[in-house]
Amino acid sequence: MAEYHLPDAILLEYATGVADPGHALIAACHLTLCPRCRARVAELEAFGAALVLGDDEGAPADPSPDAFADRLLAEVFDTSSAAQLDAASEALGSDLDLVEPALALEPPEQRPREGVFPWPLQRVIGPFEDIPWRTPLPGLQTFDFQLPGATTITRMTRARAGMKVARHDHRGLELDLILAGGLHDRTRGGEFERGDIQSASEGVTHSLEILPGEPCLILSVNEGNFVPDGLVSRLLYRYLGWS
Amino acid sequence: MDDATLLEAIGQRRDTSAFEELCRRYATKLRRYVAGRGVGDAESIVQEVMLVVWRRADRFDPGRASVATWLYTIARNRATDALRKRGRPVPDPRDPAFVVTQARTPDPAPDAATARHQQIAAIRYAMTHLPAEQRALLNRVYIDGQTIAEAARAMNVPLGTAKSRLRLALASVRTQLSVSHG
Repeated sequence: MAEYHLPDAILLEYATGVADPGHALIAACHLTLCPRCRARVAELEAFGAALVLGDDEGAPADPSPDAFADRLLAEVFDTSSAAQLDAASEALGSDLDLVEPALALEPPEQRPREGVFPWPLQRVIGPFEDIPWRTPLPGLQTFDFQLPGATTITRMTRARAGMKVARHDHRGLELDLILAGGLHDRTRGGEFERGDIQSASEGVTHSLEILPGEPCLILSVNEGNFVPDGLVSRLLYRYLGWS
Repeated sequence: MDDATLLEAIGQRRDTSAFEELCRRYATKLRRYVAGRGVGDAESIVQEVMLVVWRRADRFDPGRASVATWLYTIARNRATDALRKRGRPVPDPRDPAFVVTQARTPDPAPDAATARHQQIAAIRYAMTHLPAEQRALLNRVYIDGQTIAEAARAMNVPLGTAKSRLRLALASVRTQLSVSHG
């Protein structure tokens, strides 16, 4: 059955701050469009808080549980007045990014179709109108971009209705976020629209088709190249540079 | 006094004794977490986290998360910044693309999910009753800051096995919480 959402593993790595930058980008974009996965991330953060900061009921007391806190309060923080703590915290400079990271960033430049790309994507590749598309085939536009520190392959694709994505497997996980139009998995079923995630693990061989209507706009984050299935697929993906 | 009352006292009345109490409850655990993430000067980072709490206590929203979860996310953000020198991308409620409600998924209502988030002790209890290998996996990811792939390698199991354990662990914590909170 089609899932439409990010797998637990990706959401967890995002929630703990260890996700590959490509995975973090597609997560932030999907979370912009998906309240359900935002609630999931909030839940995973609460699980982290319970593991990291919770107490075990009935556990033997730590012999010196407050040694560090006592030292902090005795030697570092001057809690004799609120003004002293205010001065120390102001010396830190900007800190909003730690509390509400989104609000610490300026909104991107306003454009007529600004709603197409979620801001986390727009902050990386600019607005939709300015994408320097490549057109390797009639009706197919692609734009590959690199994120610092990422081992994933990040790509924008825009394909016209009716186009087919020939059968392929993958090296590692394939994640597609649909940003416009629609995509149909011809092998496993499922129709994906704006905000939906189409995912396929290594070992899943499938083909896809763009649904009727406007061109399908996709953010893809793949852990490895396509593995073609059959001669047509091999020639096509070699030509596109996807295999 | 519970955590939320302490934070309210800090945010609204600049109450330094409430701040001291919050430090006593969490500074040692925060230091252990930050040091476990491999950040060099964990004590300085915890000082910063607590000063951020002092300055931003008025931004804490008890409807969205527990105090412990709020502290955890601040410490995570600071530790991640220290390790990567770059913030991670986040959804922005000001974004015109931001979707507030969703028709497709009949998942639990957000307020039910929020009620569960408050129950740090209940979550902790559910986690301590997971099978050892599931608990070990969650510890590696949450406490040691490993990716699922790194944890799988360290535990000498295939990646698919680690992902299955993760799904089972999260499902069983969720089930336990929905049973205990109705």
